Amino acid sequence: MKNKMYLFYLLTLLGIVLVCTGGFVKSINGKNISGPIIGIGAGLFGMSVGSIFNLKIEKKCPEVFQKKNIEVNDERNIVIRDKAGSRTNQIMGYVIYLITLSLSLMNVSMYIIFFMVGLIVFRLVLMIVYTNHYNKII
Amino acid sequence: MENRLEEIRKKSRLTQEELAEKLEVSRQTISSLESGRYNPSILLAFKIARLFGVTIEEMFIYKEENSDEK
Repeated sequence: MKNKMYLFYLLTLLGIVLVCTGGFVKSINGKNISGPIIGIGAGLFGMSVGSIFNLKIEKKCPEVFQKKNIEVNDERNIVIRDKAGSRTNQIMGYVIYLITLSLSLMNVSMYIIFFMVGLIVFRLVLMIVYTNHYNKII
Repeated sequence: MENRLEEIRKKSRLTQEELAEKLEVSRQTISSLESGRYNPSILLAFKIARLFGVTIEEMFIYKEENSDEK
């Protein structure tokens, strides 16, 4: 746990350094990299500070941490999360089909249409891969 | 699937919160189980039955769904 804490302190420091650096570095080879550096730094900072707080709660109030763990691992909550995720995936599938159809009717660049079709194929491939995977282990 | 969880829990003078703590599940899970909105996994069913010292059949009542109603 102590090692984890040190790691998150280090990542927090790295996040701060990245955010500060992003403010000074404007562009490299004509490409603006200030925004991405600040974004990555802020993300790293937020995630690390959150994790530090979590570890501190785990240490100071183990009963609160245990309650939180029970909530996260509760089988009904897991079923709810899985069902919500599955329904979201289904709806997003329809949204991707609709966007692809709309874009193809709007005569946009072929690359964009290919990209969207690629997304649909990728989703299908993922579904086949995971169906096979769970077929083997369940 | 119906169950006798509420009846047996009350006989054992346990609150939903206390039972949830013993089973390491959330209080909402106990509430949903008692109202019949949620059917437990086989592991949780065993845990519940063992905790109260009854068999799974005594705790959970399986009724075949009428195919005409579907």
